[in-house]
Amino acid sequence: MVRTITIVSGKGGVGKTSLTANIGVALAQSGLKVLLIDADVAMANLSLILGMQSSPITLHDVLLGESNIQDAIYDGPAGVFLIPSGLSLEAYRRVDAERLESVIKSVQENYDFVLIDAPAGIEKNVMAAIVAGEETIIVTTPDSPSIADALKIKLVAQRLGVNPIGIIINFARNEKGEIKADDIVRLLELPILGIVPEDPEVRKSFMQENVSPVILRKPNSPASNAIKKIAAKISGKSIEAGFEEKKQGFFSRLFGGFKKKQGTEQLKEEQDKNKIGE
Amino acid sequence: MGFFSRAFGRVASIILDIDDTQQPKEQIAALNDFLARNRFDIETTDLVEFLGLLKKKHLVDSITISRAGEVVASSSNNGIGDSFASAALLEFVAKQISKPETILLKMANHWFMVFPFGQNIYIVKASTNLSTIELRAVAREIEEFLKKEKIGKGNGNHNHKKETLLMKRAAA
Repeated sequence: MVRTITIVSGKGGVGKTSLTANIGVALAQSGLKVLLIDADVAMANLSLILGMQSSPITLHDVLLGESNIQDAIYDGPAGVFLIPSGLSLEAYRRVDAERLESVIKSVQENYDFVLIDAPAGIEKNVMAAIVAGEETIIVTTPDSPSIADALKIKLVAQRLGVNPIGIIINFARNEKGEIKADDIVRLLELPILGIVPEDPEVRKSFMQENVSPVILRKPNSPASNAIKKIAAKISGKSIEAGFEEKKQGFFSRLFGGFKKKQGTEQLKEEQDKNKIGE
Repeated sequence: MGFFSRAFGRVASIILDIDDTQQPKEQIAALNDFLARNRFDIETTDLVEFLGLLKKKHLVDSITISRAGEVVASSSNNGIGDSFASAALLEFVAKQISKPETILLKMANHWFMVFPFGQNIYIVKASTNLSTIELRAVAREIEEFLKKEKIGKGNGNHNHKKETLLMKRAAA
């Protein structure tokens, strides 16, 4: 049976879209059929995180009644499917987000998981994304502004009759001033599905010629491993976590760099040999 | 502190990895307070009381349920008037334009919202307008209550014993 989950946060910039993409890929890697929907019709960027920016038909066209939903579903990395939102501001102005629920209901039965990336805030478009899902996951960072907004979005979801199933704490740095997981559980009265550490690899994933989610680019990074555990928790399926890459100290970085340089030179030599062989 | 001592302190804190952050305890207390003020216990078997609790939960001024021109229940002083007005409005709009999903009227100091759902018409007054999604959530919650309490089921004649409660105004 399909599970349709909306990922919300209240506050913007807490890594909601990146988590949606990565959890989706992790679920797909475990053999599940996953559809990701970018319901952030104003500030769409799920397709950018997945490296799928050139999608001619988008959710905008479907909500405007100008395209069929099936034509807006694209094959994404690692076997995920994606319904992107368009980047056009004009189309956004004309879109009726209240149609989202019926649009998603018309395709959800073909999948094991449908993950909806909601916009930030508590406005109409966010409500449309919340009611389009049957469950809600709240993403927050361990600081008070983000938790205050998470609290508000939880109340909005409850008002709309959708009960949130848990929290993901993102960008955790284990600093003294962070609001502790126990306090977050007490405040939001929800279980924690996982804690994703701040990992520079997530940010670096957007800064590549070919952008792809961190879970594909660096599958053994701390953030990737935490995301795999969250996906396993959500699906109830065991997902193999990789070996965590330890943070290198100054000397290991120095010698590691030296080794890497040696390796690069060796590779170049081998390439030169091959060229000579030709 | 001068520029150099500040810069030196900053460099030292980075090199020594000094964590000078602290938990914002007052803010956590404020969030706890906010949470306590936003708890909604809507468990009741009394329809009028339920509407009173629901209007607080959904941050609206009044809710009236109308069916076939009769008031099923209202948390407003003017349930009958609202019910007549909404029936007339729906009929007029349906005749002159087309069948509406919602009618929103901006009054001088509030919004008058009419939302047909199932066999009932819901009339909601609030200081700001609600989206159809929010109105549907209000209506759904009431429909579930009516179903659970077996109120007004079937025809428009409300002969259930709970009818005695129906026109009572909810406690503020």
